[in-house]
Amino acid sequence: MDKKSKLVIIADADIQVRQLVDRFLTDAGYTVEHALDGYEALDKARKTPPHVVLADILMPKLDGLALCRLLKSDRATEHIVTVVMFSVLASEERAMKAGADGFIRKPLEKHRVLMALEEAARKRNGIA
Amino acid sequence: MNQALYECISTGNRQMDEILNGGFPANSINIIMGQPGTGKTIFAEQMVFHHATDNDRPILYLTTLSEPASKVLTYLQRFTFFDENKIGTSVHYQDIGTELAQDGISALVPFVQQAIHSVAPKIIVIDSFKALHDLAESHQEMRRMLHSLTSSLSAFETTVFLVGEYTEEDSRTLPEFAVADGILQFLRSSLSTRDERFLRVLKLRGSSYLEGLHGCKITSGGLDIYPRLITPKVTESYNAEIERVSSGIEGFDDVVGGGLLRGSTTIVAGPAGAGKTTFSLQFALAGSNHNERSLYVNFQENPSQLARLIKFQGADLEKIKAGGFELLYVSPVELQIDSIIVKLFGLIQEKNIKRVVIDSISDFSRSSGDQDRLHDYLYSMLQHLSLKGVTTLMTYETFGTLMEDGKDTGSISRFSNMTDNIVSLGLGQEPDFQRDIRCIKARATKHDRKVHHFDITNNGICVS
Repeated sequence: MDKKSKLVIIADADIQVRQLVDRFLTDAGYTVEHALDGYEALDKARKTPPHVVLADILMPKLDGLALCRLLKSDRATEHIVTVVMFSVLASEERAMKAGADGFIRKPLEKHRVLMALEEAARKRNGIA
Repeated sequence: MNQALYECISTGNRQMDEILNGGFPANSINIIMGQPGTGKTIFAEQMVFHHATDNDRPILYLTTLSEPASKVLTYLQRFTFFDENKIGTSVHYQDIGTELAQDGISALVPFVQQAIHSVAPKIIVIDSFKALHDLAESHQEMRRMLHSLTSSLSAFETTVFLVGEYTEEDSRTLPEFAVADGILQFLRSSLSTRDERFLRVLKLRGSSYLEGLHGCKITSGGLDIYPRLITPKVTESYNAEIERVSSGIEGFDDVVGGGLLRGSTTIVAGPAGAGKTTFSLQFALAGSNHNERSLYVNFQENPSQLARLIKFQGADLEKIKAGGFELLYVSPVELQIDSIIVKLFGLIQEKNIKRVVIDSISDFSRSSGDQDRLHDYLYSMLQHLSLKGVTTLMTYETFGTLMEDGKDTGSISRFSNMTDNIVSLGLGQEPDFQRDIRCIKARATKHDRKVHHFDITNNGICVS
């Protein structure tokens, strides 16, 4: 699948993080949408299911772990690759329990972000 | 617990890493502050070149308004850590002074954001960051720029160093100090005709760093750093050391109960000409008779003068050096206690030294402007030596004979608590001026408190 057709929703309350990841992903050929909180990401994912939802844990209204659980519990969105990004590495286990397909530790670096997305996609779909 | 969270980045200097308990936290924002000429830029540059490797992300060094990048490079090439091949490949220097002068401080954030994507630096240095305050039109503008900058830098995987000519007052008032994870301060103070450099860590989040002032010196290799000596972790030994070490001075061992206790410290005090150097040199030279290596630390006689003294005692300097006798001469004019301590411990460790002479602690005292600091240094040093089983002898010059009429005529009392033995040498009285020796204090020893005469002969000191 061509990366151009792959939509990624970046869900993070911090505009600097969204802009940083946006640039990483658009440079790599992804299409990107932003969400400022978990509910906005959930709404967008339900309307136009993306290839990946990349979500921070600390978000207002609905946090990243709750977002993962809601996406995975809905047959319409369970196929969406979910990657949690957070500064506490120990949160990886909680992310996996919430149904996340991948985890990436903040702060972020381009190659690690792209690798995390591809590995999570491979794990979920069996394809890169 | 996963250690990746607590990853440190080395400073490239073993002693500095020791002070920082491993280095700076990875992906942190740090301030390197100090007045001009204190060594902060050299420290930053040394760290940059340490991390400059071909198969890793590069380093970005931004110069602002203090010095253009070309000038920084001109002086940088004089240091041995500088590697021209790294410039433009693993170390990217960029001068943003023009952009800042034209567009103000708002030019910095877009520049850094662009650099994050074009260079993807693993380390970013901004030198001088303080200069940006001069361009800010208001405190609010500086705050806003700083918030935006730190947000951008915190999102990206990079470690940041903001270098600046900050004062201590700045560290209490300027906003960048509130967001910094680490603050390293460089200082310089004048002592008589020379300058001494120090550094100290003011803040390092999530780390138990070594507090206090640490000596440092600028050399052709960059910064030499001497961590402040602290008391060893295990200071109390309940194993009573009863082994006696022969002083090598005829008649003296009987005065101190059969010799000096191994690992003990002795001060030999007396006025000029009383025989302190002869006494201590004889103790050091005697080490070879007992399979003990000796180190003679000297701030008085230069190597040629000392060679004459050794010859006077019937020994051959080259021969005894070959047998494990070590000499460390430092001019009292250039004496910095921090650097001596590092050298001294290095030699003791490397050469398995068991006897140390410091001639004299009066020079230590003169070289240190801060007497409390000197006291802490000596106490810690002697604790370290004692734990290593090193028997130490230190000379101390007094104006008259110590403890005349039961009174302390010198300022030795402040060293008394840290030593096991105090031996006083005197010039004697009229009419014969025969030198005398008296053991004033000998911890855990039934010693002879009488005054004894002694002579300095071709075989050294003989106590009668």
